Amino acid sequence: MEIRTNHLTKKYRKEVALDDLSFQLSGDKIVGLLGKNGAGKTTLMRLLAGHFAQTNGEMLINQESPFNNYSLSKNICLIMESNNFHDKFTVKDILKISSKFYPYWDKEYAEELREVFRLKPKKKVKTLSKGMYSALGIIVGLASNSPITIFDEPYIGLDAAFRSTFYDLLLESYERNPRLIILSTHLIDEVSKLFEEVVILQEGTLLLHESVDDLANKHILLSGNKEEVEQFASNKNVIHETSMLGQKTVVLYDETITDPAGLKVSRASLQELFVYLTKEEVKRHARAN
Amino acid sequence: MLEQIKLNLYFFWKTSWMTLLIFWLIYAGFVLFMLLITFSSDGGIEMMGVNTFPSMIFFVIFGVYFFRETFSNVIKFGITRMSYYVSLMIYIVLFSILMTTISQLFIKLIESLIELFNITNFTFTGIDLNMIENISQWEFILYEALIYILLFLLSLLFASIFYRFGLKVGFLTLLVFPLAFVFKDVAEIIFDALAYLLIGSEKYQAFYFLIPYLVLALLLLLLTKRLSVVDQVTYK
Repeated sequence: MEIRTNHLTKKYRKEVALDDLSFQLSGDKIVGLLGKNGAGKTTLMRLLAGHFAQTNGEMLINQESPFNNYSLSKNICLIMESNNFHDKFTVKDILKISSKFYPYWDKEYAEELREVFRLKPKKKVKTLSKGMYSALGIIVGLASNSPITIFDEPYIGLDAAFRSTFYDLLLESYERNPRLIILSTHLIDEVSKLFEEVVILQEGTLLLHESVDDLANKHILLSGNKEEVEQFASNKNVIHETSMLGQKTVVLYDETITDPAGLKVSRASLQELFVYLTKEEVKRHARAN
Repeated sequence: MLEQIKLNLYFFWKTSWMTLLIFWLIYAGFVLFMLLITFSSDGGIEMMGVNTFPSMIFFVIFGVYFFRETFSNVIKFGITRMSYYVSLMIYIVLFSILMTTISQLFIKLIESLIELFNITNFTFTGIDLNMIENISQWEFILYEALIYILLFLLSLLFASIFYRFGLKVGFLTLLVFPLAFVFKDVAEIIFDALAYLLIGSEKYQAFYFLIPYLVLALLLLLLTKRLSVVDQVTYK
């Protein structure tokens, strides 16, 4: 599966959710879709699933638009944090209906997952707790085996243990059936090890699209004496800095460092990098470049 | 397209059967209660039940509920808007036939009970009201089905207007019809046109229903063919 957006724009009346977004995803992998609230992540995912049409530009999957295109959209499963299911149905109904609509549905696996998350089949969707509702979404998303499986913050209300179970199951499902899985999350540290690629959106535009390995290699965290660090980091792309008691730490991004001049070198976590990269001053810097 | 239509009809039925069952159970309970009262009054109370009107009200309410509950859900499963529309047209006809069948069976059931218990002070009829002559029972049954289809279509159309444009435009559209009666000339045209759809009227022909069906179906197509799953009333 190949996803390509060309100058993709989506407006809700006067509000611009996606602004001239162009990027490409291809192959089987787990992609992290990151961005602050209102960055346009959900809009992008809903456009992918054909929930509505874009205002301008193109959204293509294998060279075709997913909007009103059954041959594509039947292969896409989008699980959002809410409003996934008709709330008058029971858990059993949802699983049965999903088995009819998703062509690659694994019935036995769905039943296995239902037991893992301890969901009662006769319980109505509207009576499920937030966590159990999320669990139902996770079951449908994983058991659908859809060639493009998208999870938009699917863990709301799930406790840490069940979230961990979800990450394990996601990886296990991917290993068993490699496909393109897009996972949008704010709990980056919890899932960063799953991601092969990361797409970061900011205010409807693409801030960054890198493989996780490249992202790790492209940044460096330098610590040491304040004056020495400042001297070393001058004229370099600093995306974050902190000072304390005469010591300073800077995070350099997209800089080739061969000799760190005796300064302490380390790496930031993906969550930290995300925070540094999406700060307002960094955004301005990126735009200036 | 056929595969999608099958899936849609399956989803539509899953969404409707419980509502249909609840309606008929409540309605049957109510009619049986009335029957019991008239039976126990020993001729002191006289009652008449008209079977079709509650079903008509059901269609008006059900159409709104049905559109809201089905459109976004099947589109989220990857179904195209065109197949949703085609399935909707098929379902309107099938569901109306089913309702007419249940309605007729219900009349027969109540009539049998009246006969069994020899209740003379309770009359239960369908749309014919025993007032219009020279029209066969089958024509009344057909007319009942035609009315259901019309009401279902109309209700779905209004639901789609609310869904697409939100409350303001929705209520404005709803106001257009009653407001039209303020103008005498317009009201006369409307009444004249309605006579073509009124059984017992000299102008009536069953196939005249095709005209409002086509108009409503066309409007529904225009409203749904690129409709977003985000409802403009609840913004979900």
